[in-house]
Amino acid sequence: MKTIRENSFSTTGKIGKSLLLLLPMTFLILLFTAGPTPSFNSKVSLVAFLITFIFFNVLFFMILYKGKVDRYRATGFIVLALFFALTFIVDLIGMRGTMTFSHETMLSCEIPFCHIVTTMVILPLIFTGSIIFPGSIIGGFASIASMLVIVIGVMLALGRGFCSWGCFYGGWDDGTSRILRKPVIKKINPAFRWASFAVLIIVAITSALVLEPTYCDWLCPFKTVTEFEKVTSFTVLLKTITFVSLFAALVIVLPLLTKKRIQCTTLCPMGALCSLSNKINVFEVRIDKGKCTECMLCTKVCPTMSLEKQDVEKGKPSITCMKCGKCIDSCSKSAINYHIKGTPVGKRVTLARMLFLYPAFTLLVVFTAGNMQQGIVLLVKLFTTGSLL
Amino acid sequence: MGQGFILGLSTGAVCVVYCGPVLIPYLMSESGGLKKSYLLIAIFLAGRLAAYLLTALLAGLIGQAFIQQTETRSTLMGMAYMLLAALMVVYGLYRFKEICLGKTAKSISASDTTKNRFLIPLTGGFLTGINICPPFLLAITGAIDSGTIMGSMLFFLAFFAGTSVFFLPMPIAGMFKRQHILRIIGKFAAMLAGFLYFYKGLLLLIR
Amino acid sequence: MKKLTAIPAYLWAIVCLLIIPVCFIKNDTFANEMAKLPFMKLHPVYSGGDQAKIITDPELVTTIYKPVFESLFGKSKTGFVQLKFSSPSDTLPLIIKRDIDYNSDNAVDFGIEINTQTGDTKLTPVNTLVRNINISSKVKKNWVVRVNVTNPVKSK
Repeated sequence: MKTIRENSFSTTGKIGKSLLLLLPMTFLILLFTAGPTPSFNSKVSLVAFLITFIFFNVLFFMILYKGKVDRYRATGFIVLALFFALTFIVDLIGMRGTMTFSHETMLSCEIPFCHIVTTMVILPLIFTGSIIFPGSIIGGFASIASMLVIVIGVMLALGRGFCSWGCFYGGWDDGTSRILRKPVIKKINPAFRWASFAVLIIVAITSALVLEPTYCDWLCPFKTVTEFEKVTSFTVLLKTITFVSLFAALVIVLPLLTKKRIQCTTLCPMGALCSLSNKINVFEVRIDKGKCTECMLCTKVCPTMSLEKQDVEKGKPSITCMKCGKCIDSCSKSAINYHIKGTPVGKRVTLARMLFLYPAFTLLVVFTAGNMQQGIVLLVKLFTTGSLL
Repeated sequence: MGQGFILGLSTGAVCVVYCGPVLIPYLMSESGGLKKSYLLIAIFLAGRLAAYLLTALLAGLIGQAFIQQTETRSTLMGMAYMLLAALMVVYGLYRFKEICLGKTAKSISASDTTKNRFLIPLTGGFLTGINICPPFLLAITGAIDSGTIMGSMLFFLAFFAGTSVFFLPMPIAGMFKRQHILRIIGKFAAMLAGFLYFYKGLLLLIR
Repeated sequence: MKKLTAIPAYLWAIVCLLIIPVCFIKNDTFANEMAKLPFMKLHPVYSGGDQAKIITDPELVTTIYKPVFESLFGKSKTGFVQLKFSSPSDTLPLIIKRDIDYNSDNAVDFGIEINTQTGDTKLTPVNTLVRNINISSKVKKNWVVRVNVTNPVKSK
């Protein structure tokens, strides 16, 4: 009996069908890689474009042809994290000469608006009718208005899928969680998947009370690979020790030992907010109870502990599911699939899968393409001149 | 006041789960619709508020009369914050047997209660308000630290507001199913609030 | 019944499919529209507040901003006054020395002296509400100072 993935509608193992369904994505990859009016000012930038273009086409083709999502998604996702950090740091050093920001940067309101700040501006926005962030409302890199448009759109379209397909930080702990073949720490209390909600409550309230984004100020581990305040006092030193320690523990060490995305699961308040948007998002992961044998392999592989025994029995992961596809790929009975709410479970699986993969992969391309091209140009510069600047 | 509110909010979910067993059976036994349930909740919360304000008065008197006058006030308060904050962190990680007087109200509600329908939620609320848990002890410390009776009252008012937020959806059935998740989130939030207070205590000690 | 929910579900999924590329292609348009919304402004703690007055001298333009005593609810006990010094010639003088009246009561509230090369800033309070320097920094071609002050309304 054919499994769902081998049915007449699926693309698994079928080159022709895979290439056909790749075509619309090729157009989107071209649009977001080259831009509406492509211009390449050097051979290196042309080569960078070609590498990026081919890279994404190959990734999407492999998702279709192999019928596996997670490993190819993760490849692009990790590339996003690495190249984003590289290009961001190089741009900063080129502009300011340092990764640190000073009073000058804050007073000139030029700090790029990161998506995580969204969680901290909501309450002050309601009570004061203004934004508590030293950024630019419009214009410049990552202005407040442009980032809010993206955050709202992505949350509506993909829910917490943002955390697996678009977040330019998630690739760090996604990557470190894949280094070891087997976890060293095998048992983690699944209660920790709710910890980020506590962080969301605390940072939302404290930010509103002190009128400062407290998560950014004190906790965000990714300041280690982007920008951070210059150490000029004991308090700032304490903040620096805190975020560097959190990066080491939650982004490097614990994901390595547990093979779970610990930072994203336990700390990120944006992840908690996106989880709430999963409630209204049309896409979800569902388990076809008719096919499921309750082997519980999916509960072991889920990087965010969103699938526990009771979730398998209910037929769907908790709202913390990031739609990464790891459980789908691991299921030998093809019982787990992407699903569209309001439609029968286990029917038209390929259609639901494609309707999810197109926007999700597009998001990955949009965030990665520019950074990847710029990153390749920088790396070529490094190898040829010995300098990134 | 903000700190009192955070403290209340961070522990409110846990308060609901511990105080819920007192209130929920009573709510369910008293049929009468959503309006009546909210009236009973309001009376319950009024009892809690009375308990908090009484505690605030005592804390304010202590703060005004003794702590503010001592030369080692900063050291005393700093140490108190750090110790209680450490307890809060432990409270977030492990189960805590709290001295909850409200549990006695549970047995009262099981017996004949028809004579005064409002006495039970009021008494239950008052007794659950005197709940010796680390957040409550931290709230007392914060109130003493304010140094005045009014400051102490305002601090506990904010603490009350923070805890009450989680009681408001109680009559709505759906919340009952997710109690265990709220409890987990509440405990993690209590842990984080503990770290905040630890930092506050540290600053008081070193400055 | 299942068909009734399935059709709008698939339609909604197609809309979500379109949201992502449209969000990015039309980002400038949507962002410009969003920026026009009344709440899309920086909090005075970050913007420095509204301009109160501008004093123009031949070599220095002094912009005094209204005091900022913002808090989440109402006004706070303490806040700051922002000053911005700019030069018509884009080169700031080596020493900036000014007496400032920030509350428009025709009395000097504090004196400020800035060495724009070293960044040393001296504050001479005259008004008892003036406390200390919060920030003093070069910002592009200007010099911005924030002086901590007490709210006269809350201090009574």
